[in-house]
Amino acid sequence: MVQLTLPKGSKPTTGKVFKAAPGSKDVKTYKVYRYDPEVDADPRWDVYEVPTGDHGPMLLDALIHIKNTIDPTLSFRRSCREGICGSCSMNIDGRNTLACTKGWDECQSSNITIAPLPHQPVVKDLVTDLSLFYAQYDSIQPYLQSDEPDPEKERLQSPADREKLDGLYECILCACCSTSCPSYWWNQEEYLGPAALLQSYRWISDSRDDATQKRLDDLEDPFKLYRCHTIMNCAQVCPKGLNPAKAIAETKKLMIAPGRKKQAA
Amino acid sequence: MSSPAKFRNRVKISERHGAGEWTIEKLLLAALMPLGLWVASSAVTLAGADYGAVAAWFGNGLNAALAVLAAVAFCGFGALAWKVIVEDYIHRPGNKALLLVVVNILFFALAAASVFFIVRLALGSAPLPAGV
Repeated sequence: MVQLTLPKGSKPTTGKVFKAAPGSKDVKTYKVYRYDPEVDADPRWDVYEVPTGDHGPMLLDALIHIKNTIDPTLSFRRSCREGICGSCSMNIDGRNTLACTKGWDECQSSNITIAPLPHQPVVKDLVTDLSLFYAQYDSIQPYLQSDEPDPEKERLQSPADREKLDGLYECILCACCSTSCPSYWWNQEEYLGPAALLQSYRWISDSRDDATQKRLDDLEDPFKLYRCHTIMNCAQVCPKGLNPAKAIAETKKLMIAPGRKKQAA
Repeated sequence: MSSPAKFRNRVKISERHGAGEWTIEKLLLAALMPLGLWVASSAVTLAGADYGAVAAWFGNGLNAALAVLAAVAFCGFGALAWKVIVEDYIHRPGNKALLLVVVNILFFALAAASVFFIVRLALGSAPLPAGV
């Protein structure tokens, strides 16, 4: 049965408060989820008061500043700092996004809540275990499968065919979409989630790929594909402005298209 | 009823069906939109009418046929919609299977009763005695 409340041992308690120095100006308050499953019985909210002048313009700058100068025990993933790697995805003020592309001045309140991506096992603090997410990505076979022999140079594609991949190939696998999807929250063991389905459609719609029917066969399942109920949270939170819900709808249309050739299991 | 899900590297192996159910759900929904409007306008037309007038209205073959279609489409869509809700939120296999059987029986009974009484009215049968 679906759980509507947090299970015992998962409800965050009140944690430490790290006050800003007296007289500090333009102070923002960061309420950050802290949890180390190996040590802590319960997660907690630690509060850090940080003057905005002490760090750069993005929330990732604030987190790095907190880790470097206030509390080195804080854990989070980060790498590129420019919205390309997808490492610093987290839930900021109730919305999944990338900490490196979200400015602290974009948050309406001076109290900013930072939590890990929802409904994922927490490794530590803001770091979640995304191994199932990656296994789902791996399962859609995210590479070109062509029946043609390897050409001497690149496989050519018309500009019109290449244009069909716009809005699909830009996905950085940050998991913001999948972990914002209620269907994925309840059924992630069986539902592939918006990110994997967007990536799957990226290869289905590639004119150079010849495995379209097999890819569709592998997706045709009441849970793997059809748990998408068009809630659209995925499109709302995608930090790259992509629309996984549209890609899923297009895949559903291809499932019943006249040219569909279902292969034997 | 689906057999237990099979997995490879933690990811479900496709059951190779689902498009059919999804298509039926969408077709029923498409049918229910005009039928729903027709049911609403008919309800307004018949509001306050006595038994004889309502029976006469159902006596019209087109009205009876549309009413049967609306009832069957509503119950079919309802059964599919509840199936999705149960599958989404009930994860214990035994409870899920039991609830799906209950949902199907309820909607089938509702559809059968609807068709029976619409046809009865259309054929001009006398009203059932009170308490039956």
